[in-house]
Amino acid sequence: MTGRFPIRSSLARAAIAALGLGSIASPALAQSYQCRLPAQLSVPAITPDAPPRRLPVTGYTLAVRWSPEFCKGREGQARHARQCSHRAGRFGMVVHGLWPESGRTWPQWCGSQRLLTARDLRPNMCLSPSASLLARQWAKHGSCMTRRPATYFKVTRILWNGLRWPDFDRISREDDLKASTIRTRFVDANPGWTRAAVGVKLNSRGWLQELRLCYDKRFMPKTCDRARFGARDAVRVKIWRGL
Amino acid sequence: MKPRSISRFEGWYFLAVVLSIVSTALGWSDMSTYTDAVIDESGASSRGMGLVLLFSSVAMFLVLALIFWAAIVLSRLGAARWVLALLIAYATYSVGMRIANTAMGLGLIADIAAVASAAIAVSFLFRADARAWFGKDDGQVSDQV
Repeated sequence: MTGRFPIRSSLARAAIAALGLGSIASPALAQSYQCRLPAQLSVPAITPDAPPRRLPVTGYTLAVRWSPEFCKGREGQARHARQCSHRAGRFGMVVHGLWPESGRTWPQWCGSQRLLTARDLRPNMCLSPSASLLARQWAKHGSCMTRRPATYFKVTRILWNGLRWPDFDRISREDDLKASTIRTRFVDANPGWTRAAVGVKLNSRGWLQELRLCYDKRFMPKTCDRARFGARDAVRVKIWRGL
Repeated sequence: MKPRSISRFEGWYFLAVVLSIVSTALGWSDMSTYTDAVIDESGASSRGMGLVLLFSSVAMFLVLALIFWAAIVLSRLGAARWVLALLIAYATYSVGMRIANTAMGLGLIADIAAVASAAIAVSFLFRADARAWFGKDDGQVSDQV
């Protein structure tokens, strides 16, 4: 939950909260069945794998990953232990990343003078349960959006907190499950969204991997381009439960 | 004439208000991205709504700060100091969470200083001369709390 009144001062937030008009900020949670924030956190070093590409931002994509599918076969891997071992929690949908777009391409690895700290990462550790994933998303995508990592992660939390998630466990049991079903269930749960703004990414065998939620420059839902829209409506989908 | 503790309260109190505004102003540029993403009831968002909320928050805080000042200094309402003390206790918790979860910067330092100033200000309201200033209100409220 994020404060409805976007003011930084703790005194001001306390005063407004006392009126019952604001809500108390707390770490955002993924669609997690349980999740504990880590007591200690180190910031992984990230090395760019491509040259910087600084482009004007024309929109955004919130990539949301179906964790049971991602974790299939990764349960024992140390680098995915937090998300997949079940020791730190069980996860449904988690945030892969918030990506700025620029027409048909995207800016990346814009560089930042700001040092990423554990404090920046921590509030999002139940949202995206991997420090290396968060660090990489900031370095590759977030640095092209804002100067401060804390702002990038906060915007991600705001977008996430504005979404309502249908029960994918139940959806997985629906007969004749298609990409259109997933879009319809998401739009039904999120008034203001259209099916055209919901991308569905499947792996080569038809298992649901991610949703790609398309936003315009003002963070309003917008029609996805073909690449982000992913699977066409008629494509059959399977959802790995594994929870 | 106002007792010394009330005068000191006013000084520290308005310093806290100014520091709170400074804390908000220091984060203003980075708030542009933030306000773009303020979510409305339908899960959509708009730049206009974000800025309206931001300015409304500041205006509302200033109005509330003046109301508390008037209740304490002009109306001598003893109950107001207890409410203020509770708000500052919550603000202390809130700034503690902020310290734990965000990187240290000038905005956060100003925020910490604002809460500390407010705590000092409120402490003056519980001194002997201030209690006398509040008069009968003080005893009644103290019995309730």
